[in-house]
Amino acid sequence: MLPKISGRVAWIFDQPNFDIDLIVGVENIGTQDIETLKFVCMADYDPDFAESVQPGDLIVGGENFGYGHPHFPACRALRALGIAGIVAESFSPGFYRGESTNAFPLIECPGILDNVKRWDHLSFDWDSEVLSIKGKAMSLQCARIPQKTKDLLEAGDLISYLQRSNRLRRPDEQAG
Amino acid sequence: MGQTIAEKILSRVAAETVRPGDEKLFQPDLITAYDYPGYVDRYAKQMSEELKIDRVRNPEKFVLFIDHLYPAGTPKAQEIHAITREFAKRYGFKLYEGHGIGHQVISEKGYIKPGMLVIHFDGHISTIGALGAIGIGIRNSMIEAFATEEVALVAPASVRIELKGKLARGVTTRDVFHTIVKRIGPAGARQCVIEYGGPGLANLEMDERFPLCNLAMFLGGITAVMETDEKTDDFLKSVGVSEFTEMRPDRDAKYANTVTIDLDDVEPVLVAPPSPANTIPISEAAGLRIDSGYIGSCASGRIKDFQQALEILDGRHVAEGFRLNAVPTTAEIQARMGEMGLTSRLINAGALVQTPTCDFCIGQLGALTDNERSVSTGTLNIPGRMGSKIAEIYTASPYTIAATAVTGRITDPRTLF
Repeated sequence: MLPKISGRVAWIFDQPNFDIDLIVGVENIGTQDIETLKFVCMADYDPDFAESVQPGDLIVGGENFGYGHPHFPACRALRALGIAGIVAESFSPGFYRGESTNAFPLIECPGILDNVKRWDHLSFDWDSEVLSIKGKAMSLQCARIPQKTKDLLEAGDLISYLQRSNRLRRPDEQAG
Repeated sequence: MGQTIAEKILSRVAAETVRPGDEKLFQPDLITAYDYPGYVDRYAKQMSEELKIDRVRNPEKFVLFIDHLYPAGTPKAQEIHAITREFAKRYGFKLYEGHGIGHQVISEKGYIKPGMLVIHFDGHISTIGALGAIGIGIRNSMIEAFATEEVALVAPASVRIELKGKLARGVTTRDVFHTIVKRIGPAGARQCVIEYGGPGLANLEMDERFPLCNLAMFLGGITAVMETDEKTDDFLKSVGVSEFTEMRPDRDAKYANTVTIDLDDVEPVLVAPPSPANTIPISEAAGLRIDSGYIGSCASGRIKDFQQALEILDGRHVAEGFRLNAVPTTAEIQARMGEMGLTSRLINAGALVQTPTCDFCIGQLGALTDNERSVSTGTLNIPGRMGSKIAEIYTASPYTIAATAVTGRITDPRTLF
């Protein structure tokens, strides 16, 4: 089953070409300790962020979100704080590849910035790929999500996806 | 229907016609990576402990590099390298340690041939596009490549950059790339392969071509590729590759966009903080006090870059208190610089000539403290990239960095010829 996307907008990065390393600070991109990452996550934007978010909340981004060098600690930290996905005008391809492989839902939704404010409640329908905003009559059609991305999200992580895929050779087939 | 270079390469790999938008599994010709905490150490663990894979079918398809956190400055960094050495040994992968930055070493060691598909986690593998091959950074899907020797890709469309004319003195391909960013925007080639060609390409040496491909991600590109010519062939012969396939698009290839760049019109530019999206004319920051300079990285740091810097530095000296780090991209370049006498000329001008490593680009070495400003040929200038979060990084050409090093202030190199 695909993860349920229904949550509040915990933060809006409205600038285009946002570099996600800034979420934890570039000095922490080699940090693997999740408690450290949770502590520094969003500290430069909102010191109360960790306390104000709840599981299922979402991040909203602008054009070409994830531009630059998209290292993993930023989204690991966001997920650890309960963030369930990112909805952006568009994503930088390296970022999209990396985080969709980490089974983090990324929804490309042209028009999102003009239509939401912080703490609005968003819901996404995986079949129609339509995003709705609670209390508003309108909804937004999002970009098509590649099948592999959906398969990964269903599997929950890349290792489980590979194990389900029949693409791993059995040990007796590995010779040669 | 005609094909772009990328469509030809992906169709060859897939053994069937591939069109933009097609989602398929591809078997790359090469799979490559460098170590950094959370990458190769993680793949090593996933391979043996989670996927329980003892060996791979084609170990000769894998090449690993140790180039970050190198030479190791801490026991923890050495431990990361030790895991990589053990991983390479266990699966029979070729490992290059201390040869310099992998994105260039891979070409120097003769691994790259025109028409190849190469996979890395890091998008700067696009550097190899200068040899008519495509290198794609797939981030954490690397474990898919290690485990299955296949990767799922959605075939990209291409943006054609048609080059014409010739660069004026004092202008480099760093200026060309960031002029293109200014012109079509940092998402101007988003999700696409950037295909460089046209008559102007013949006027660029190989050392000038690599940076144009290396920086592809800052136009939103998945990668970049160039048409091949005699200069490509000469480079390949010099590294022992005799097999040469000419890579050109079909005349009726379809592009998402075509942009013509007249090299004669390009002027020196700077990329101002806080991001590579931010191209400004050099005049906008001229005179700004600068503390340090860095010529190196996978983008720059080749022979031509140091020759350009020396056009300014010869007969002059780095300003009092200014730190200029000159870091050859690879050990082979470092050796050639010595043979050609470039190293001593740089040292005589006051530069600190360093060992090949990625570490100056990422603030592991030559770090900046609060409120300092640096000019750099590194890839990226976001706050904190080279040390303090409140230091500023301007990326620029080797000419501009040399001119700035001499005066201690941002200087248009053309004023010093």
